[in-house]
Amino acid sequence: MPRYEYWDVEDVSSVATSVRVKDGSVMEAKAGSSSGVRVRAFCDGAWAYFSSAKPGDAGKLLATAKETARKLSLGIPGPERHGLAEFVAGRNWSTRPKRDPADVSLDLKVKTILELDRAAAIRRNISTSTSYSDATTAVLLRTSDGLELEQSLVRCGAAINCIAREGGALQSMFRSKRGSGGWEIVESVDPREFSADTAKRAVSLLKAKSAPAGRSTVILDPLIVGTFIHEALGHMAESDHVASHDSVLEGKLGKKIASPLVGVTDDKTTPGGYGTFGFDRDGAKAERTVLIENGALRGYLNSRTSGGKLGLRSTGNCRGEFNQVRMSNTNFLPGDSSLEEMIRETKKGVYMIGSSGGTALTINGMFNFAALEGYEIRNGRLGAHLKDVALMGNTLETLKSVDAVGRKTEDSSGTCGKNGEWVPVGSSGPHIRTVAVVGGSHAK
Amino acid sequence: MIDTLLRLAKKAGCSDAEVFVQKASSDVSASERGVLNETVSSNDVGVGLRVNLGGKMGFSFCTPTGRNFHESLVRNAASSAKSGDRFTGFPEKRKYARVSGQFDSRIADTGTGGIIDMTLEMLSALKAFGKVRPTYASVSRTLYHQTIANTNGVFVSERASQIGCGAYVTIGGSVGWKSAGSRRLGGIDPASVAKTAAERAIEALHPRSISGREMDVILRPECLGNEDGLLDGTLIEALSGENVFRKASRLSGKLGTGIFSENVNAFDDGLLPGGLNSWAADTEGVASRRTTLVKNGVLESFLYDSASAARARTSSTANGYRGFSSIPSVHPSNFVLMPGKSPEEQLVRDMKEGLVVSWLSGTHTANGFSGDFSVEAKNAFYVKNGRILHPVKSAMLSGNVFSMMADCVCASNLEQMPGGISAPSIRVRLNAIA
Repeated sequence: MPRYEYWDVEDVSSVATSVRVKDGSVMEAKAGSSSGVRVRAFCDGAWAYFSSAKPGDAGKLLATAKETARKLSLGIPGPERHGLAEFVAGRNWSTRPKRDPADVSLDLKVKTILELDRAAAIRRNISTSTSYSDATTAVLLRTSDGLELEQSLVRCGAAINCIAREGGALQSMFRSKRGSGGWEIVESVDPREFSADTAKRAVSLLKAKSAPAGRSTVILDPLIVGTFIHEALGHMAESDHVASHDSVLEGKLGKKIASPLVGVTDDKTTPGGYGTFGFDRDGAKAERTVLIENGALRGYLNSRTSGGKLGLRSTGNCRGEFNQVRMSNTNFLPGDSSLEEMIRETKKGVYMIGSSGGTALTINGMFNFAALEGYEIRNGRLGAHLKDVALMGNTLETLKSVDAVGRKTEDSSGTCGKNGEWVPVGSSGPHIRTVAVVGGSHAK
Repeated sequence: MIDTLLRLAKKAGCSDAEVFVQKASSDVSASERGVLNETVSSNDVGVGLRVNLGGKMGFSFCTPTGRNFHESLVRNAASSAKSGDRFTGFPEKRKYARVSGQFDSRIADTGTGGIIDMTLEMLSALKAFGKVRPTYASVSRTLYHQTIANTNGVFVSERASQIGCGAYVTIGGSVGWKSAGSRRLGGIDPASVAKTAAERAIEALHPRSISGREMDVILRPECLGNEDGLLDGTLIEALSGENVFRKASRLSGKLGTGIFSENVNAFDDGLLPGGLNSWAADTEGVASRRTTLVKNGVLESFLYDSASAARARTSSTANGYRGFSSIPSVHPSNFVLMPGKSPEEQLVRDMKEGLVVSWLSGTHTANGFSGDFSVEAKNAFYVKNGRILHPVKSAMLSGNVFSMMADCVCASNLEQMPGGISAPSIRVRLNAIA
């Protein structure tokens, strides 16, 4: 006889618009919709998932899912059987945009994005591409625990990429502004700051030099700190990795893993955060989860499944189509230094600005990521402008080497991929100073 | 549905219209910690509608369910045309070649039971390796059906099948993974994929540090190919006719000139037998073809979809690809960097000092426009006087994709990648930073 069974049915529908402009011409302006039903059934450690574009299929799919989960569970050996973690049930929730994107015409969206794109054409030999997207996703979740929850998430944002050319050389610069909310996010963008400044930075990179390679003191700006804390710590704290013996943080709960200056949270409730929601895929209430406090590891990110395997409560981090432990808004908490002090105290090092993404291996904590640009630091002053600055290191060593944390934080947004699924995530952080391996590529 | 949409679009005043319907049904069987504990079955369908209204292009998409989706889809597409791009025409009706090995009915017949059995085969192959931890192993099968029709009389409806498997294992701090995909049921061997993953993790155990400097590096097929290899965001982007037209490609103006080492040959082939992106037509109905891109190091052609071809006043190379929710954009079908003559072992034997690297981490951070990259070498091995001595603890490799390929040697071991970008091992000169 099965000891623990559970099922849920999620109806999902979304409407989205997007605009793509390149070099002052509209490439694509569209509005569309999609919908479907997703069914999950659990039995003693086994999951069966079904999805269909036809909402009417739910009943049939649920019956098949329950049967499949029961059959699968028969093959699970005793020690690997488990139930689902304790959780706090969520409540109905919706993003409250100041100006609902549905009330803004596609025409105005196109005009606004064209204006942002044209503001970047500050000289000849510059190519621009600017994009806009909004999506409103409505979910109705019904579970075998008797929950019936509704959620409506609205996300909106714009991004620009500028490519500057000179001779045979090409350099690019990227900028984005996205969040949970409506048209107000894009409406408040200043074309001079958003577009012209991005173009100027691309042009200035044409004369930048490669970074000095090797182990070095580095000051990371808030945007790259966001990437760092997401890639290099957040993924390792996802407890599906911990349960699969695939995380360097396994067995380290309560232990010092970082400098006492380091504090990290994953906050699903951040107002306007790109990764914000009201309840997760399991129906668990969104919460602020402390990961690191004064350098000690205080918790992991858990879904009901991964928590069930480890005997931990859910932290409301189940996201995606069916069941993955994912981050929401991951934050490096502020300290009491300033950027000026950090630079002044640094004899030799590299200042890294902006993020062009990164990745980490959870099993051993090795990470690498790249900045959009950087500056050399010599004798307490900023020196040469640097391009294509990359950073590599080991998470735990790098977190232990943090010796200064800034007062002011800045938010950033992105999309995070895991096993082929992409979810919107946010980050925030201050400037920090640490030590890692810097790699600069060398264009010939 | 298709006829109704084309008719309604005409009725709404659109002089041209095009419908793209995409259906996929897939089943996945997955295991964690060596225990089969998950199955996923999905049935997806979507439709995209492009129209020409008053010389401008409109587009919309939806899940075709409910009573009124036809009307609202046409209304949304027509309304987006007001803000749309200049209409450059839809492809004309033409003859399509037959693609061999595109659909294997045995994949359709195998059912969830079949893929569960294959996953168990993988797990039992991994058990033989004792201490290797089988973190994740899975098998999936997908059946595709896509139809493209337009008011020029184009109508192509094609089915395809795919089976794939992958394993990710760890031992100590060492990782091994391997994936494979095929259009034929017998085209993958799940047990041998699992075995390769385990062997890769074991061979990378007990790594040692090296001192960094410029050295010869052999990049194995997974470093370059696949969707997470080094070529996807760099060389592939530079070959896009749209980027070339915008002068956002390093290869703009280089047609007919030598850009790479003489032993570099590359092509794109939408009709490649058994190719995982082989279709009789691309997703706007242009007949698939083979396009030589680089011949003996000389740049021969770029890749175009219909819109970029119209802008550049040339013809489409049948490289318009999309999902139902987007308009087509330039993408390779089956891109192949052709193998050279020497086996990889020979390239190792010829090396005085250097590295052999199995895969790269962080390739998406490579600068897509300049080609500059700094990425992390994974499962790398140190070579001295033609012999592989030991695994390497950590190394960042930095260089430039375009200069690296201007001075490279291709090995003879071509491997087809599920992501549609295939490459052999290549020997290049890079900066290793340890």
